[in-house]
Amino acid sequence: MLIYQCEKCQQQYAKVVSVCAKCLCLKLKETEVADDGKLVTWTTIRRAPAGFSVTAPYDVVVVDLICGLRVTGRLAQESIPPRMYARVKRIATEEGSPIFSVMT
Amino acid sequence: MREVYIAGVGSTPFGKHSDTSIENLAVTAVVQALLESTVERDEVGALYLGNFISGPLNGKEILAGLVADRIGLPPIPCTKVEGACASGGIAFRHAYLAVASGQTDIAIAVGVETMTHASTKQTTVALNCAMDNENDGPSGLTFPGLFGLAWRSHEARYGTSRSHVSAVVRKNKKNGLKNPLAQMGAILSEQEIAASLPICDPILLFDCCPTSDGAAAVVLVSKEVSKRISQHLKHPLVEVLASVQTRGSPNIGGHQDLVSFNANVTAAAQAYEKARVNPQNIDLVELHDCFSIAEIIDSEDLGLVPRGQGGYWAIEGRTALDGDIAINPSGGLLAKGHPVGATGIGQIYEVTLQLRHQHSNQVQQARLGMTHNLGGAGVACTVTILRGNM
Repeated sequence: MLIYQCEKCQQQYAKVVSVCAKCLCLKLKETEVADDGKLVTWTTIRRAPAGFSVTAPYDVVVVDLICGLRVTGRLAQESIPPRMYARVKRIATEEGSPIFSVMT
Repeated sequence: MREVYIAGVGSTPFGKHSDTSIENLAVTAVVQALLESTVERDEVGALYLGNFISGPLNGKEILAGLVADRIGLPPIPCTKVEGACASGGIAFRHAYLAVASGQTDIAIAVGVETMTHASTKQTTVALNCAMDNENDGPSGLTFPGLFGLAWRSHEARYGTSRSHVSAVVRKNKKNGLKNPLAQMGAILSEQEIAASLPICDPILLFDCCPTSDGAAAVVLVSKEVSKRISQHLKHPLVEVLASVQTRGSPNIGGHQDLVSFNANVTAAAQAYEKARVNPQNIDLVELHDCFSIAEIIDSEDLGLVPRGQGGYWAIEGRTALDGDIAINPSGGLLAKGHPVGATGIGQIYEVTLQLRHQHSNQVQQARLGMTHNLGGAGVACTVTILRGNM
């Protein structure tokens, strides 16, 4: 999974930022980290936001990646059902959202 | 900092006001507060107006000046502030600071929102502007969904169940029945709540606050002014012991703990320190129950209920009017309604009536009251502690 890392203090960010909030360094580089993580909570959205491209219902998940970042994403429609603290893996990115699948 | 007192309050009912413009709704509340306070318009030194989405929903962005113009205030600084659902609480704090710092002896805080005229699509698009749309928005998360995530975490750690959360809904809906300003008071059974429309698991329709129109206003005065006007007032003054604002993470990734909002915890700690009181001294609180689980989380974050016990206290009646700590005797956002920019000042209105011993759901011997207003995904929080003189 592509993240952004401060060249000075190594602080990591899930999305592109113009400055490191930790040390104010302006240099951040793209970094590949492992797609694996732990599902820390989830909800099934039954009423999608207006204009959202995915038809409800769908599961929004919060995942703690192995690198330490906590990210918000969506569960793949074909994934097995979510459960607390399940191992998950990012299998795609759709319109800026990581898409995860629960590991068996 | 100087002592600050609430000299007058005003509020429209929360609900539907489709025949009234947003500025006229605010004017109604401000005029009530001014008349009650007995101060003259030309004595007012500043006005702060809390509002979130008057631009997208009403096509109006200069509300503070509009409202001041409609009631003939002098050419004073009039400022609109925005902090999503905490906009009203932030406006109150700015007015408090204006008086406490000596900048002026009299300031007005007003909050207003009109939402019911807009379509569900327009409203949800506007409300989602309070989300971090770089980090959380692309997943398709909604605000009910945010609290669905929090509920699951709370359930996993503390065993908070549907019955616990429904106890919050039942209490607040019941409290709302006796509040003349409330939009949706009701007597609900646990079965009726459990059978309501699924919104985002485990959140159901009755777990959500309604869409509302409404306005509330407060006139704040210095101690010097309070002494001058006290003989003319028909009610006792209420003292502002603390008015605090904090920032939390705008996105979920920034929250270390998904069963707590950092901004809540730090705001409460600062407020207790400034007011020189502790949570056990608080007689009642109006807190930000935008969704039923939020009341449980907030009550724990504010230190009013032991961590993890929010649901248990609700189901045992310990947060009822006659409980250990009365939470949302107004009916809260769930029953009174949530006209976003007005909510924080509506909470001040409710607690002020309680501390004057004038409330329709009066908490017996209420002396110390608290308000709590939370914006976005926990990005802005205000906490106020008020003391009555009864």
